[in-house]
Amino acid sequence: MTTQPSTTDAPIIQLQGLTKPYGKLHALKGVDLTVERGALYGFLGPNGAGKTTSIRVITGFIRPGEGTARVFGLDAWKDSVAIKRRIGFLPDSPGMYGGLTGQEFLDYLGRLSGDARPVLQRELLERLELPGEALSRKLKGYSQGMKRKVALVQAMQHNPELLIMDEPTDGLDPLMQQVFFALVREFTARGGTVFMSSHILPEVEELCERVAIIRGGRVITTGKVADLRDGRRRSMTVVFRGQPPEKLDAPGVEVVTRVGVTWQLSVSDNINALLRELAGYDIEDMVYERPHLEELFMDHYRSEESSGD
Amino acid sequence: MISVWLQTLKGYRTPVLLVGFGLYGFALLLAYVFQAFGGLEGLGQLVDLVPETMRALLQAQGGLATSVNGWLAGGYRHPVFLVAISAFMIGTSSRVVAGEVERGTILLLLARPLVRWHFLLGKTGAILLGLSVILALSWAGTWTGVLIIGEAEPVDGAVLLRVMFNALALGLAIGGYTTLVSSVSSDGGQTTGQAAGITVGMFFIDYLAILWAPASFLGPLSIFHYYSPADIPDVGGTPWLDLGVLFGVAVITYAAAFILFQRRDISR
Repeated sequence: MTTQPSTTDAPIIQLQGLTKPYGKLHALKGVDLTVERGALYGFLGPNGAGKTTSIRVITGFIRPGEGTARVFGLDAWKDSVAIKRRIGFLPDSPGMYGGLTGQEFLDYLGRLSGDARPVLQRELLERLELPGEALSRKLKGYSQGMKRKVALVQAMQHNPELLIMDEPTDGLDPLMQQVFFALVREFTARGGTVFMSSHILPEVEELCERVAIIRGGRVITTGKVADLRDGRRRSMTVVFRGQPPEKLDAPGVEVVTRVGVTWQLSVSDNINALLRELAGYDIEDMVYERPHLEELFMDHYRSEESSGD
Repeated sequence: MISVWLQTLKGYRTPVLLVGFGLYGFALLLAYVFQAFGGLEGLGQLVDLVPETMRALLQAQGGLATSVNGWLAGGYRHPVFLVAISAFMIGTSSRVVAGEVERGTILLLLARPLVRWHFLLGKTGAILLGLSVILALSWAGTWTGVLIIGEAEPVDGAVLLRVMFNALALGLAIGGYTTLVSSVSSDGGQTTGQAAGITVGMFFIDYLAILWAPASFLGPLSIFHYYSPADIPDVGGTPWLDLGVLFGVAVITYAAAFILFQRRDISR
């Protein structure tokens, strides 16, 4: 399996000052975003933040207000047909024709993409455990999970350059989520680019190298997940054996909770002073966690709220 | 576009066959009723018994005929025929865009390299073929009836073809404004309701204009004003003005639907 090469050096997706008014309301208020080729990019935000509107602009379903939206260097609205030759799209709530079988539906979408039996269809069906027997049944008898699998296959079966997904794992069981993660990683390893929105932070954390966080129609932060974690406080759980200390004096340490011998600490970047202090006590167990994306996300939201936005 | 056309045709084959064979049977029945009433003479006696106001009502339904051709042509203005054609055109055309948006299928279909108006052309092309099949079956029903009952007087095939052409124009006009409503809507049920409301409203206006002289000026506002199949055998020739208005409505509304669909946001 090889991914078609991009013909331009432009960023795969570039949004600049993008707005989208709906009457007096603005779903997007100046979104800036750049996704480079080969990226596995997560687009985070709660419901109503502007994720789906941004994706619909990128995929040419919605005409932008002000600003620009370019995909492969092309205008997302005017050149949407040319763009769609090179993308795969998984919407947040895809509908299907209940009267068609799964195979008929996939073949129909394949024909619309210009290929009656798309190159990756068979492999994807096997990986996602959609056997021929299931595909020969009408879609109206499918469970939500099976429909989601069909939706994933239709997005990837024609081997696009760019995969755009809106809440891709909704309805997938944990095992199939792992299969999906593997498929996406293989896709990017072959040179493909992934742009996915989600409000399930652990999923994005596991999969994506870069993220953008959107709130109220504006991107409030972007960057590598690892960079965003840097400098953030980390969580430590300490279980003392015997009598715990009265207090901890190490700099940069806050005691979050204290339940008997189990203490929950929040630690800044320097852990050495804390370890030296804890060495004077009898410790039964200790867990030191890296900061989760969820905490970063909540930090951003809290700071935005406190700044009056 | 061909794939959309074929897939739509496949999806609509059941309603096309149901409506088509239903109207085939109805046309057959009309021919049989003509014979059962004793031909023109028997019908004339029956009409003489009907009060004046009821006669006007029957006239509005194409029910008074002075020839066998007029009787058969009048069947294409009967409420059963009008309801069947309107229901088919509204039921299918309301789904071309609004139904797909409501169901969420449009997000998968238009994620393909497909020009929007090509998509709409494929959909409407399939509906127009369906309408043609329905009218052909209806026409075949009339001829089957004529063959079964025997011709009391010569039946003019050319007249019946002109009647069919008039019915096609009416169907296209209904399909045109329904597609226009559908092209800007995201709710299939709401679109069906709006298009049905427009159709019933125009039928009512036409009825009112026929029955009540002070309201006759309203008649030209209704598409049904331009649909008088029973007059075709009596007047003779082709009703070019009526056809022109109905086809004009169809062309303008379909063109507007294509333009608006090309520009609209699909945000649901």
